[in-house]
Amino acid sequence: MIVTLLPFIAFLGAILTLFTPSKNLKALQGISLASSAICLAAVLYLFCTWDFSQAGFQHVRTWDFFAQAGIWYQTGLDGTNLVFCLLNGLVTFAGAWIAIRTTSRLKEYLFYYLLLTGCMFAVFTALNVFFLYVFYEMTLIPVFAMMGIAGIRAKKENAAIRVALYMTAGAVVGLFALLNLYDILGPGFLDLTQTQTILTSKAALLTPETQKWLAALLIVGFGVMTTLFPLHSWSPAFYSASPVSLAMVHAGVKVGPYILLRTAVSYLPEGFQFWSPWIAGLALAGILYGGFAALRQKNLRDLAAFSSISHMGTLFVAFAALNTASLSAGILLVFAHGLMTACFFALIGILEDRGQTDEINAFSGLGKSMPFFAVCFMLTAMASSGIPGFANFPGELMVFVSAWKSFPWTVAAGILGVLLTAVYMIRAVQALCFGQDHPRASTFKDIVCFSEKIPFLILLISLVIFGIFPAALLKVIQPAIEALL
Amino acid sequence: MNALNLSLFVPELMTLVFFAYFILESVLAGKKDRPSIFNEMAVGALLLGAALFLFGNKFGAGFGGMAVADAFGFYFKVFFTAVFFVVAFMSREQLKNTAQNNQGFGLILWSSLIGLYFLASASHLLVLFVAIEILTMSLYILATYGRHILATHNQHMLATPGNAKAIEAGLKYLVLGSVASAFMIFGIALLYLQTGTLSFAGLASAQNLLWSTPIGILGLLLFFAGIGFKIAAAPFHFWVPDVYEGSPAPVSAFLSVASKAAGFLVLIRFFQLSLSPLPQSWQIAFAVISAVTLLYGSLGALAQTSLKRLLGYSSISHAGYLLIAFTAGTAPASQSILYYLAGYAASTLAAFYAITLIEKQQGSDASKNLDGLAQTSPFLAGTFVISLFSLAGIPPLAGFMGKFWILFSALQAGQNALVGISLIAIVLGIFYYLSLVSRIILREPQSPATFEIPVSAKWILGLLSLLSIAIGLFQAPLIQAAAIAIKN
Repeated sequence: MIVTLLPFIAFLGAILTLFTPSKNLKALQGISLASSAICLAAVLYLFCTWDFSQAGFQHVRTWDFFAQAGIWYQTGLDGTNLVFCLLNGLVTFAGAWIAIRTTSRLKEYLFYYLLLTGCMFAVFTALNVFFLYVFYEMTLIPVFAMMGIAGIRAKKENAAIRVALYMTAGAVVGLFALLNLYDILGPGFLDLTQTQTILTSKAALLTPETQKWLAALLIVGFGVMTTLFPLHSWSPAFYSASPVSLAMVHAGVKVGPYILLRTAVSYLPEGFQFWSPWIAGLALAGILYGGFAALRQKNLRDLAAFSSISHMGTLFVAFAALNTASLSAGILLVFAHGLMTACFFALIGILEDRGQTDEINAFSGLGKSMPFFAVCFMLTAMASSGIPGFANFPGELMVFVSAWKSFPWTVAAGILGVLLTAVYMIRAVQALCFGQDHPRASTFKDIVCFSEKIPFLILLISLVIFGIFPAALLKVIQPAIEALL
Repeated sequence: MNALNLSLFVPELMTLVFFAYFILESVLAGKKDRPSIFNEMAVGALLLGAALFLFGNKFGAGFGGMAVADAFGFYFKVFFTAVFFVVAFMSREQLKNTAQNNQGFGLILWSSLIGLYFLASASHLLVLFVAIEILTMSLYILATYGRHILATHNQHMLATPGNAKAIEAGLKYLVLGSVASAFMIFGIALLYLQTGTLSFAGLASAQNLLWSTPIGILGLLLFFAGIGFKIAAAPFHFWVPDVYEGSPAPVSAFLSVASKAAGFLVLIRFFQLSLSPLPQSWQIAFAVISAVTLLYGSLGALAQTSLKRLLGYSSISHAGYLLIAFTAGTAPASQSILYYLAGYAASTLAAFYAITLIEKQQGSDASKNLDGLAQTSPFLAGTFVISLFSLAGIPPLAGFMGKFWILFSALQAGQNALVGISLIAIVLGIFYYLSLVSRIILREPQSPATFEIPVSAKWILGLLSLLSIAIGLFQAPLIQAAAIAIKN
C-alpha cells in the first residue's frame, strides 16, 4: 500500500499547493517540504523493512484500469525499483529545500516540482509498461513549465523546446518499439511481473531479427534522455538554462536506464546482446567526448553537463557488458552519480545566488570566505572523480572490473575518463576555492543557516554511507538483476 | 421495409420542431435582435441530449429503409449535440457587443445541426447527400459571418483586411465546397448507374460490381472526393487554412470538429460497416492519402503566425491520424477513430474557445497575443495549455490515448510504415504546439492587458479541460461505447 501511495503523496501535495493562496509563502513551502519528507520517509521505511529472502517483486498491488487491453495500474517494488525510489526520494527531498527559495511565482513552481516528484515515483513504482511510459512522457509537462517559470531568461525558451523535442522524439521511437512488442506478445506483455512467464511461453514469436531492431529502437529511444552519445546535445543547453532544483532532479534521477533495463534488457536479451559492441563503442565515445569537452568548459553548469555525459558513458559500458555484476554496479553508479550531480547543481545554485554567475574563473579564494561551501564542493569533486569513500568509487570500479572481460579497450578508455574527471574537477576546485582572495568573493555569505545546509548534508552523507557500505545497496539490487536477466 | 417507424426518429424530428420554434420566435420578435437565442439553443441541445437517451435507444430501420436508427448513429448524435452545446456558447461570446444579427447566426447554426442529425441516421445515399448539403450550405453562410463582426469595429467596411479575409473564406469554401458536392453527386449517380440502387444494403450486396467495374470505381472515388473535402484530407484540403482564418472562431471550431466527424461518420458507415473491408489496392491508396495529409498538415503548421490558421493545419494533420485508422480498417481501428474524435473535440473546442476570447479582446488571433498569457490570465492559459498538450499527444491527456489506440490498431493491421510516418508527425506536432505553450508560459506579456472571462466561459472551458484529462485517464467507458457503436 505504501508503494502505491508514494507518487500520490506528492500529487496530493501538488493539489494542496493549488488551493493555497499564492501570498502564503510559508504554507506553500511547508506543504512541499512535508510531502517530499513523507515520501522520503516512506522510501526509507521500505528500504529498512526490505525482505532480502525474496528476489521478485514485493508489495505488489493491482488496480483494474482497463483490463481488456492488459492495462492495469499495478505497483510494486523489486531491488532495482527500490534503489531508484531511494535515489528519487533523496534527491527530490534535497531539491525541495532549494525549490522553496524560488523567488518568482513560487506557488506554480512548487506545484510543478511536486508533480515532477510524483511522476518520477510513479515511473519507478508502476509495474505496467503502459504506465511506465505514460508517467515518463508526462514529466515533460512539469519540466517545460518549470523552465518557463524559473529558467534563466535568455536561454530558457530555446532550451525548453529543445529538451521537449529530444525527449518526445526519443519517446515516440521507444513507443513504436513498445507497441510492436505489445502487438507480438499480446496484452500480457504490459505486466512487468510476468516478464519471465511471457518470455518462456512466447519466446518463439520474437525472432532474432525482430529482437535486433526492436532493441535498437529502444536503445535509441530511451538513450536520448540518458545522454547516450551522440544523442546528448540537448543536455548542456538544457542544464545551462534550467532552474537549480529542476536540474538536480532531472540530471540526478535518470529514468532512461531504468526503462531500458525493464524493457530492452529484460524482454529482448538477445537483441540487446547483439548491439553490445555498438553500445560499448558509443559509451567509449561518450566517456572521452564528455571528459574532454568538460576540460574546456568555462562555466560550472556546462562542466556538470559534460561530466554527466561522460559518467553516463560508464553506465553504458555496464549495459554493454550485460552481466549481473555489471548491471548491479551500473545501478549503483546511477545512484551515486545522481546524488553527486544533484549536490553539484545545488552548489552551483549557491554560487549563482551569491555571485550571479557560474563562471569557473570569476571568483577565487572561496575557501576562506565560504568554508562550508568549499568543503562541500571539494567533497563533491572527490566523489565525482571516483575517490574511495564515496559511492561512485565502488560503482565505477565494479563496472570496469565486470566489463573487463568483454570490452578491455573500452574499460581502458573508461579509466582515462576517470582521470579526466579528476583533472577538470581539481581544476575547478583550485580555481574557485583556493588562490588569491577575490575582492568580491571575500564578502560572500557562506552557507550558514541550517535549512540551507540540509540538502548538502543529506546528499553528501548518503554518498559517504553507501560509499562505505555499498553492499547495503548491492544486496538489494543483485537478486533483482539476476531474476531479470 | 416500407414502414415509416417515426417513433425511432424522435430526436431528429425534435431538431425540426425546435427549428420551427426558433423561426417562429424570431418572426414574433420582429426586428429586435435577441442574443438570448444562443441560451435557448443550449437548452435545446440539452433537451435533445435527454431525448436521445430517452427515445434514441430504440434501434431499427425507418423511412422505407432510407434511414436507420442504430448504436453507431447514436454515438455520433450524442457527439454532435455536445459539440453544438459548446459552440452555441462560443457563438454567443463571439457575437456579444457587435451589431450583428444573433438570430440569423443561431438559426443557421441550428440548421447545420439538423443536417448532422440526419446524416447520422442516413442509410441511403440520397438522404446522406441531402443531409450533407444542409450542413454545408449552413456552413457557407456562417463562414462569411466574420465580415459582419469586424464591420462594427471598422467604418470602412470593404477596405479592411479582416473583411477581405472573411469574404475570401466564404467564397473559397463556397466554390470548392460546391465542386466537392458536384463530385459527390456525380459519384452517387455513377454508383446508381452501376448497381441500380442507392441504399447502403443494396450497394453492399452489389459491391463486387463496385470494386471491379470502371464505373463503380470511378463512382466510389468521386464519392470519396466529396467526403475528403469534409474531413480535409489531402488533396482536398486546400480550403482549410484560409477558411479557418477568415471565419469566426466558433465556425472554425464547428468546421474542425463537427464537420470532420461527419466525414468520418460517412466513411466508416459506408466503407466499413456497409461494404466489406477495402481491397488491397484501395488500402495502399488510402495509406498514401493519409501519409500526405499527415505530413502536409504538420509541416504547414510549423510556420504559422495566426492561431486559427495554425489550428487549421493541425486539423489537417489530425485528419491524417484518423485516416491511418481508417486505412487499417479493422473494428478496433474504427473504434479508435470514435474514441479519438471525442478527445480531439474536447481539446480543439477548448482551444477555439480560448481563441474566441483572445481574438475578441485583443482584436486579432495572431499567436503573439499569447505571449505571457500565463501571467495575464492564468485560467485561460491553463485551459489553453491543457488543450495544446492534449492535441500534441502528451500523456495522460485524451490526445495521447487517442493516438495510442490509433497507432496500435494500425500496427495490428500491419501498417508499420504509416505508424513510422505518424511518429515523425508527432514530433513535428510537439514543436508547433509547444511553441504556443512556450509563448504562453515562457514569455513576458507584451501589454499588461487582463482578460475578462465570463462565468459561462469559465465553466465550459473548465469542463472541456476536465474532459481532456478524464477521457485520457478513464478511457474504458468511452472505448466500450465506441465498441458497441462499431459492433452495431
